[in-house]
Formats: sequence, structure tokens, C-alpha cells
Amino acid sequence: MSARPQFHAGYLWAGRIIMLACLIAVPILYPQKYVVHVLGLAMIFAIAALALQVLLGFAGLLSIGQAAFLGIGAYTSAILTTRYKLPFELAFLAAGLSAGIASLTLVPITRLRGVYLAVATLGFTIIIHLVLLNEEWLTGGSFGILNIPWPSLGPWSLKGETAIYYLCLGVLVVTFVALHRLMPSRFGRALQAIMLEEDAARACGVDLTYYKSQAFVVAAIITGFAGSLFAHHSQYLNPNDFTFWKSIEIVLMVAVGGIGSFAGAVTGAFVVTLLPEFLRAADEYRMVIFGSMLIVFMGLGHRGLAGLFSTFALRVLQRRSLAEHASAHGLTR
Amino acid sequence: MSGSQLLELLVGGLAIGCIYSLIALGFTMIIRATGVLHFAQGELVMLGAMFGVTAHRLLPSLPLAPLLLTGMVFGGLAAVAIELGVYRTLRVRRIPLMNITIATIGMSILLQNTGQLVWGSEPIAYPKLFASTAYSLGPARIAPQLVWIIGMGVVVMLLLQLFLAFTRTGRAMQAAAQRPDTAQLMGINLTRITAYTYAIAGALGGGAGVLLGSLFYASFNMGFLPAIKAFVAATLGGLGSIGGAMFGGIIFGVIETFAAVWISTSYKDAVGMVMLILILLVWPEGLVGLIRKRR
Amino acid sequence: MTALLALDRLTRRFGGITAVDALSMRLEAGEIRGLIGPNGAGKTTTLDLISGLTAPTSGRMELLQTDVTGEPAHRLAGRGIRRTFQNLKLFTELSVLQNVMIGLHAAGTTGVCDAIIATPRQRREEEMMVQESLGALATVGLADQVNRPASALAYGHRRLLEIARAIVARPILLLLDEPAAGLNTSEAETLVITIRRINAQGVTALLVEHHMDVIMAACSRITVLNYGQKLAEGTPGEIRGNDSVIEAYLGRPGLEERISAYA
Repeated sequence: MSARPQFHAGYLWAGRIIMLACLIAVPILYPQKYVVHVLGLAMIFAIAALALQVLLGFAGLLSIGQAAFLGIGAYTSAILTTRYKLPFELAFLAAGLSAGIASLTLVPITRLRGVYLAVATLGFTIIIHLVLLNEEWLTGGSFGILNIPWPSLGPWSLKGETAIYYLCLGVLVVTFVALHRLMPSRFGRALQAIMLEEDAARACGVDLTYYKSQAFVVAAIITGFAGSLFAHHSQYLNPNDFTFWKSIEIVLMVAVGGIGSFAGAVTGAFVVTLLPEFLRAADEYRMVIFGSMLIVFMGLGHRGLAGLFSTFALRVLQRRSLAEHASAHGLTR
Repeated sequence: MSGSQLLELLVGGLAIGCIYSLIALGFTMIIRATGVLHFAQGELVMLGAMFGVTAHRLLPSLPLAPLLLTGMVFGGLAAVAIELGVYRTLRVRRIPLMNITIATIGMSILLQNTGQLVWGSEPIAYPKLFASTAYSLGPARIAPQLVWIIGMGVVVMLLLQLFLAFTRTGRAMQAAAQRPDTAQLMGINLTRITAYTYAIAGALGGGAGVLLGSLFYASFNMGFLPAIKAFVAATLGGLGSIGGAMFGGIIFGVIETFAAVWISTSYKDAVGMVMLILILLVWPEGLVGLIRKRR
Repeated sequence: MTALLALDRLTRRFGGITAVDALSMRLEAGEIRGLIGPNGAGKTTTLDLISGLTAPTSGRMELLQTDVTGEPAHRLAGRGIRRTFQNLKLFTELSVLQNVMIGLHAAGTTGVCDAIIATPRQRREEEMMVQESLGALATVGLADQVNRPASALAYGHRRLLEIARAIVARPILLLLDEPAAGLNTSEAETLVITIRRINAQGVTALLVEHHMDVIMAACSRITVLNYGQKLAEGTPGEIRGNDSVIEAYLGRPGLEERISAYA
């Protein structure tokens, strides 16, 4: 397998700044409530996709259970703010914490290989969904939770689509930066070692169970935060938002965007969340398209959209630098 | 609980267990042959059910057996089409196993939603294929439907065993599953064997679909959850073992049925999932593995 | 003299097969010991046992008088037992430098929080790891390949990279599993020189090899295994002349005459 295309750091940063600028500009240029709402949702799922990328793209662990943590985070935040009138900041933190604690139940299954781990996480997400559905005293069952308040930051209440949009953007940016610091570190290297050669990782002193579990906890906490944002963004929760299909959708986002690329995870989340909006007329075909995309992208080797973009961009840059090189040496016609 | 109630529950468990066994056999055969966990197996179940009910619409006088055959044939054809069209292309490009597995998730999504486009979102009721009067076994009253399902299921499984043990193709499949390299050296065409494997897995799934449909109803998303449970059953019996898949399915069906009554109906699906996680942690070899160790 | 590593009737059974059969062995600190034997003699399994990749079925293992029997691989690695692999287990998608830095994992303590907040402790540790890794790469002669992806390396250099990864944490015991496999004569010579250099820095080595020249040139003592049991132990000269060793490798004496009788 070839190594990922390497870009000069300058290009990467330029790309990211441009993306960020676009995202900041959108509510100003297109202030329609609907647009801002949908993009906010895309960013929430982008955060969940980033979390899955840590597991799938760096630790090599296929988790089809992330929706469970989304749900745990969402319901924790919703219950604390509606029933116990706690401030949003606390509820947000509690959402991440509860999802993280819940993920500790998965510690025993981290020693399962590949597909078995995947099916076990699928089982986990089914169990959590059933709990959300059946424990009416806690979650309101199929009636769900209504009138979830707007978030707040200290004295400021973030009322309105635009405010919550920028909150989601902020959390997305912080997560993105944090993960970019995490992966080149000792922890990130340990995860990648586990993904690439487990025995060699052990021989270098890496405790497999400990690091795989940590990866799950990190991913769960981040997804829990996303869940909290989801609750206060939709302002209404229903257990059917957190079925195993949602877990599969998150896998879809990462697979389409590109396994191993954080920018890819964000891209995939945007594509999967926004494509239905563009294909309004062909809404029924949405999942057919996604299913096909998943097959095609897996067939192309898992670089996904990010990989396609990188390969294309590299070629353009190489051609340009070759041309510059040629003209500098007087080789052009 | 009275004896007759116990018997009725048992028969119900055996019936759904037979259905799980058929699906589980499909999983097992594909995993033995290619190492891939075929996430789209449940959709082959759905296709079988759908083609079965469509056949009934065209020829309303058909009894269960030809409908079952229709489901099996179309399930098998669909499976072969997917294998030759998609999976083989992926394998030829030497795509890593994890990616192929994710691709089967994509196939599952694709097939489910294609099914929804073709047959609609509403569940389709299966026709009344059985007598309405229940058989009486002492004080117990057993629905003839369940007996038929168990009967058909057992017949299909027996035929499979005979096929694998006594036909050239069947034995070649066994050989290819155990030692693919040696099998190739002996002149066995692996590509064709893999196609046959998918055909059989599809036929088993399709047959299970007809039986499942006749028990409940047919709908585009009917196959996914039963397929996951069938996977649990296959793991319970011992993944990679044909006998394990059969017994695992039946035992799982019985356990699930009794658990629904004794523990809770709303958490019925969770029973399977908890079992799965426990088995994977404690008994990864499944029951077959336990039996082998005792020897 | 107290031994660095003592194996006491170490046994590993796989179902019906006894791969390592009541092996007792003592390694003295500072030596380069060869471990040879015909195919299937249990050499790699012995390394797996010592490095902790496999747990013994019975027997004891002591490292510097401490009982470490059955400890998992990552703990033994932390205690200073490092190894290379017969079929190379490099982290091919990572760079040469990153490969070696992973070898220092047990020497580090920073975790998720340190990394995200970028504490001074994190920066210091990364700096230390980079410096140590560059040093290890220089020892094996790969200092000029630092940022290349490991997959881009030539075969001989990959073998050296795996050694660099194994020595970067200054292990007390280095297990080498057929490091000369696939190397040509001059590469093998470089390998022996590198092993000697590492040994001179205080690392005890256990060398599994089929390449007899390498064994005879590098090792001070040799242990011979056959069918999982110790067949002989001694200096290279003693082993060369040992009849049972010759028989294990080459069959019964007089084989040449008997074959030529058929010619």
C-alpha cells in the first residue's frame, strides 16, 4: 500500500483556512434559517465522523456503534437541561463524560479482531437504542424529549439558528485542531502501530487493550459532545434518531470522505448530510446512491473523496512545478 | 408455565430457529470460502421473500413449496450476480478484507433501498398458505404454519448436507474452504466455487425469506435484523462450521423465543446482542469448539 | 556469575505439538549467543516465549533474577527485552523516523491530554524521542533516510530499520530473528559489524540464524535446538565438530558415500 500523498504544509494550511472562511461566511451570505440549520447539522455529524476517524483511520477499529454515544450524549444533555434545569455548559460536559463512561463497557471487546469487533459494536448500538426506546421514565420512550432549550455560554444565551451554528463551528474547529495535535503524538503513534502491525506494537511496549480502549473512550467523549449539540440544535429528541442505521451512516461518512483523513471525515459528513438536500427530487434514490458510493469508494482503495482530491491536486501541483522547472531551465518551447 | 404452553413455545422457537439456521448457513459458507462477513445476507433473505410473494401474485394458486423454490432460485441468482459483478472485481483488485466487508455494508444499503423502490415501503402480507385450524398435540395447539416451516427448513438443510457430502461440486467446495491453495492445485476452479458458494448462500437466504415472510410479512427492511441474529447464531454454534450454523440457529431461535416470554418482549432483540457479545468474549469458538476440545 | 536471562524447563505446546520442550538455558550479560537448529526446531517459538508474544505452557523464565514467567510482550519490552522479526514487521505506512520512535513508546509517559494541550512535558518528550531515534538510526547507518516512508526502503535497509527500532530504547536483551535472511555477502558483513557495535554498547544479543557464516563470525557461544529440545551448547569451534549437531542438520554420517553408491 502506498503512503499518503504528502503535501507541503503551506498548501494544507491554505486549504484549511479557505474552508474555515467559507464556513464562517455562510450564515452571512445565506442567512435563510433552513440553510444555516442544515449546515449546522452537517457540522455536528462532522464532529462525530472525526471521532470515528480516530478509531477507524488511525487505530484500525471498525466501530458500527457510534450512534449509541451520540444518543447517550444527546439524552444526557437534554435531560439535564430540561428536567434538572442545569446550565448548558455543564450539560455539554456531562454529555461527553457519560458517553465516555459508557464506552468503558466496551473495554472487554477491544480484544476482538476486525469483523467481530464491528459486529459487537453493532450489537451495542442496538442495545442502547432499545434502552432509549423502552425506558420511558428516563428518556420519554418513543415520545422523546421536547422543548430542549437553546444552548448558553456563561451569560450569553445562544438563541437562534445562527448562534448555534457558530457554536457548532467552534466545537468542530477545536476538535479538528485537537485531533491534529493528538495523532502525531506518542498516543497517536501507538494507535497507528496497533493498526499496522499488532505484534510489533506489543514488542515495542504498547499495551494493546489499554490503547484500543483509550481510543474508544476518546471517540465516545467527542461523539458525546456532538450528541449534546444535536439535542440543543434539533430541540427535540427521539430514539429513532439513534438507531444502528445512524451508526452505519457515520461509517458511510468516513468511508466516503476517506479513511485516515480528518479533512476527509469532515467532507464525508457534509456530503452525506447535504446530498439529500441537493437531490430533493430523487430523495428515494439517496440511499441507493450512498450504498453505491460506499461500494465504489471501497473498491478504489479507501482514500475516498479526500484521496481523490489529493491525487488530483498533487498532479496539478506537480505539473505546475514541472513547468516552472522547465521554464527556469529554458526548456519550454 | 404449563407443559402445553412450553411445547407451543418450543415449536415456535424451533420454527424461527430453522429460519435463523438457513440464514446462518449462508453466512458460514461465505465466510469459509472468502473470509468476508457478508453484511448483505439479510437482503438476500428479503429478495427471496419479495420474489416469493410476487410469484404468488402472478400465480395465486401456488402452495408453499413452489414459492419456497422461487425464493431460493431468485435469492441464489441475486447472490451470484452480486458476487460476479461486484465482489469478484474487488477481490481481483486485492482490496483489503476490511474494505470488502465495508463494501458489503454498502451492498446491503443499496439492495434494501432498491427493494424499497421496487416494492414500496409498506409491508406486504403473505397469502394464507396454511390451514387455519391448529394441530393438537395433547392439550397443546400447534399452528400448522410452524410445522411446515420446521419441515421445509429441515428438508433444505438435509439437502445441503447431502449436496456437500456426496456431489463433486459439494466436495470441491469443502476442499476449497479448508485449503484453497491445495484445492487449486488439484484443479478446482476457485472462481467457480466461490460463485457456487454465493449461489447456495443466496438460495438458503432466499428460502429463509419466504419462510419468514409467510410467518410475518415481507418488507424491504425485513432482512437486516434477522441476519444479525443469524450471525449471532452462527457464532454461537461456531463460526466456520456448517453443523455449528445449523444447531446454533435452532438453539438461538429457542432461546430468543423463551427469553421474550420470560424476560421481556421489548428487549427481545437485545437478548441476541447480549448473547453475541458474551459469546465473542467467553466462547469465541462457539459450541462446536467446546465439543471439539472435550474430545 | 549471575545470568541475565535464565530459562528453566520452558515448554510451549500447541495442541498436540510440543514446539519447545523443557528448554533450559542461561544467557550471560554481554554475550552474543547464537541459536541454531534445523527448520521446525523451535527457534522462533523460543524467541516468542522470551519476548512474551506467546505464554509458556510450563517452566520458568527469570530476567536479572526476577521471575517474569508468562508476562505479556509489552511488559517484557518495558523491562528491556526487544526483538526483530523473521518476516519483518515494520510500520510500512509510517516514516523511518516514526518507526524508530515507536520503539521508544515504553520510555514515554505522555498521553491524550498532554498531546492536545501541548504541555511543555510533551514537547520535551517528543524532542528526546526524536534525538534518541536519530541516534539509533545513525548506529545502523540509516541516518540519511530519516523522513522517507518505510515502504520506500530497500530490503537490506528495512532489516536495519527493524534493528534500529529494537535498539533505540537501549534494551538489555536484543533478540534477532534471522536478521541476515535475504542479505547478500557484503550486507551480511555490515550486519555482523552492526551487531558487534550494538553489543559493545552493552546490549546482550540472542541471534537466530541459518546463515552459518554470520553465526560463526558474530557469536561467542552457540545453542543448538532440535525438535524443541537443546541438542548442544558451546563455542563455535565445539559446535562445528559436534557429531550430533552435524547429524541433525545433515542426516546420518556416511550419507555422501551411500548416495554416491546409487550414482
